[in-house]
Amino acid sequence: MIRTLTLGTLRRAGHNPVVPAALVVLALTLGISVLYPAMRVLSQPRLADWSAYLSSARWLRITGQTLWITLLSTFTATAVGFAFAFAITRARVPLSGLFKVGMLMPLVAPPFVFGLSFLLLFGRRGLITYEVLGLTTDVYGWHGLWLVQTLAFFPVAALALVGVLNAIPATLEYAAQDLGARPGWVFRTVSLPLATPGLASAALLVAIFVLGDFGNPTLVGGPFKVLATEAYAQLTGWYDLNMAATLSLVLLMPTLGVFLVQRYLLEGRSYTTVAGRASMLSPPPVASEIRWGLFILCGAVVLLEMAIYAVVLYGAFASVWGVDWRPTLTNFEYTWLRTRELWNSTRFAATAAGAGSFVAIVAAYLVHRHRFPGRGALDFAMVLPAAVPGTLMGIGYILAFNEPPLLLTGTGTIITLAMLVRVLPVGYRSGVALLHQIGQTLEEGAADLGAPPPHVFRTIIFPLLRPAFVGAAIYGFIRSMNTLSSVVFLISPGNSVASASILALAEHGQWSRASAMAVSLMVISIGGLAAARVVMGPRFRLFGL
Amino acid sequence: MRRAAICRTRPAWLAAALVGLFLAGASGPSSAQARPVLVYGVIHEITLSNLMKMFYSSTGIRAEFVRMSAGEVAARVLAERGRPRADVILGVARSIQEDLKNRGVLEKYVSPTRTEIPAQFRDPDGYWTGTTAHVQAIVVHVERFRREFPGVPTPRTYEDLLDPRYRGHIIAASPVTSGSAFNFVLCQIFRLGEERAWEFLTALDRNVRFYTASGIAPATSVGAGEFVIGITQAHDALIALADGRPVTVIHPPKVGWDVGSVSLIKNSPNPEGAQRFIDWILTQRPLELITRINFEYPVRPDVAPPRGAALLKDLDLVAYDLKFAAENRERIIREWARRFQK
Repeated sequence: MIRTLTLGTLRRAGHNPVVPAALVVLALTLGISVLYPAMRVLSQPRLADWSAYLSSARWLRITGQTLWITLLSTFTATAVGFAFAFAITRARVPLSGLFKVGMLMPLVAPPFVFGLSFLLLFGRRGLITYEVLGLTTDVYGWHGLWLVQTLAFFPVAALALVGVLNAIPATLEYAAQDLGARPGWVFRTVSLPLATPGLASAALLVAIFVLGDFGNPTLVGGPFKVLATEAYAQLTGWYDLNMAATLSLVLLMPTLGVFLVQRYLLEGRSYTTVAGRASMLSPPPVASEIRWGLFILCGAVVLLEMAIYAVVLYGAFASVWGVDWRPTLTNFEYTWLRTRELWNSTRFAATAAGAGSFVAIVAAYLVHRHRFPGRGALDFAMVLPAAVPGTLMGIGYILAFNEPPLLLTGTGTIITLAMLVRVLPVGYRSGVALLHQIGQTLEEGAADLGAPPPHVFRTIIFPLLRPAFVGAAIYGFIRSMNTLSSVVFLISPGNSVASASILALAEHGQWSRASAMAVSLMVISIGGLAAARVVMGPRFRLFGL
Repeated sequence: MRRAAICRTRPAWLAAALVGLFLAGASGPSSAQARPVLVYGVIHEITLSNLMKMFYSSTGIRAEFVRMSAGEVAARVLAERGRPRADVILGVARSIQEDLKNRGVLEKYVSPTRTEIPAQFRDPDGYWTGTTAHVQAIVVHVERFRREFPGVPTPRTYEDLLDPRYRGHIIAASPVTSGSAFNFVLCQIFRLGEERAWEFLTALDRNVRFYTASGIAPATSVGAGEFVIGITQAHDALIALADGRPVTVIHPPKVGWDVGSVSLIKNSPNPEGAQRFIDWILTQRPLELITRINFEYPVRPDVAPPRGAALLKDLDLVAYDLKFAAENRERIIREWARRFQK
């Protein structure tokens, strides 16, 4: 971005003590919760481990496979996500309410249940593939994984992009049209370039999620292995922390690459669209063939999802999943037995989501509106948690927090912290994407009129970043409710969470009970959405929807 | 702008909500009571929660559990060795207990109730004691088998699995991540001798579609009809059978087996409670519960076998060499990985 040093920027950097203090607090928080555990894990590999990695044809092949599936899934998930976001914000397709729900649904899905239902529908003996279509398909492998990862992670892209597309003022598009540009040309030269930071952010997020994902490759990957599952195998099979850490470091490298590319692409260009008054015009209409094309694409995705969720929902009330579909309530008796886990999930997730999003937004403002030494490091530390595989993060937390003065193992705090850290990248990236679109003139004006940075943050930045904050908080809440890999090593007796119960039940083939637990978890997640709406009043808009 | 006015009040709302939640979290039930016994359990979640309730009602001591896979339990106990968080390991196979014992994270405990368990299911050194037997099995989805292979008899022996017509229809777990899958490989070595065992496994590998990370997954996916034949432990397959799935559980001659066991973690936070728990778990009622809900085979002579299971004494169990198992675990897994890991 082009940065101009005004009197205001100079003043707020130099004289207000709040900014340095906030920076110190932020740096400490990140240092303790992200960098220190990461260091503990990453200082594990020795030279011998690296040479073992480099001399193993298998590991090099798996590294290639990981990159391959990440590239494929990121491309399709971001494309589908963009289609959804565009359909909802610009194309004004019919049934857009349904598509909004469709975007949120995969987020509410507890781990494993999504994959299991997918297998039940599309597996070798799937309800749709085998019973209805009579196909002998085999989804196990990269193609099945590609489909599942696209379905699972397109909402991440879509949610990031809705905010971005909403922030692009229609005035620019109208102006281009008035100057004679055809709609396709307007899209290519105005809308798309303005959405570029958002697209890059969304793709980065998706890539990080796919790289670190462990559940779907386990269930659907079959013989197709990826680094995240291999790191887990090294840990649980060989108790080999060194090799697990080595593989995770390898996993970090592409993330680092994506991160640097994104910075290189975005720095030095201006995407400012909100300078002073925002536009109130609704966007120009889209050609009908595009609208219907989007409608069909999004409709197909939503139908696919609805089938999957129907299986989960019905499974929760079925006597024996897959065998006896007669409805019953007995599956929920077990859920009743585990209400403590549900409550734990709820309070840990709510705390993590609220605090995490707030930290993320403050960090976005501090890092992208101030100059200070170590800015790049903070920037990286904010997105790092998303790149570290959950299992390894869990081990890092055990190593880091199992001794005084940071003795946290066995408490709920450590679980909350592990969840919070995973919320940071989402809130931060969407905050930054929005900040890129907000001109500095407003803040500079306020600063020149004598407003100190905290006041500027409260009255200008936070309101403008509110969509990012609310989005990250809700997303973080739901995501934390369903998180598994990073907390599975941290849960302790009395501090267990519902997602761990779901995994245990699903692993034992207790799919009806697992579904009942999953449905309860989803009800709480949706309840969280509703509660936010009540608290925030009619102005509550989730992800700008 | 209206937006700005609303936002000024919103952070206060949020802060209040967050503080409330945090307080609720801090004063939650976890910190209030006397110290409970903390158990890392490998067996079924439902079984564990019933066991904890039963322990409380018969002893007045509270016990809580975390359910994990055996590999996770081992990794976690090793990671926490500087400051153990749990007291008891329950249900982990003896080969892993031996490994943990050799790494010095277990505490010897000779429970007074231990003598009620037959000697073949106990660690002679007193570090772990068997609670149940894990017998291996071949699980077949009968309906799918008939449809895919009309007129073919269901496999009876391990060698039957090598028939080329089963290519791609068999599912098994990976010994790298699954303790029970490691035990399968180990028992093939006991059955055939090492050299012929690797030949057998190589021939079997041609028919296996892929190896799952979880040891239970083969039984559940055969139960769902995803695969026709699974290599599994009997108790995992019996759950599917009890659910009414059309599967049959076969114990081939010289079948592999293992012992699920209980042990005390070294320097655990509540050793007295842990000892009470171990004394109690080895008695008849809790072991009956594990057998009934978890379908594991009883080691106590006064506990009846689970529904649908054969009597342990009627089975042709392979001779098990515990010393060999503990000493060669890592070598065998590496060799398996070298040959078959994709």
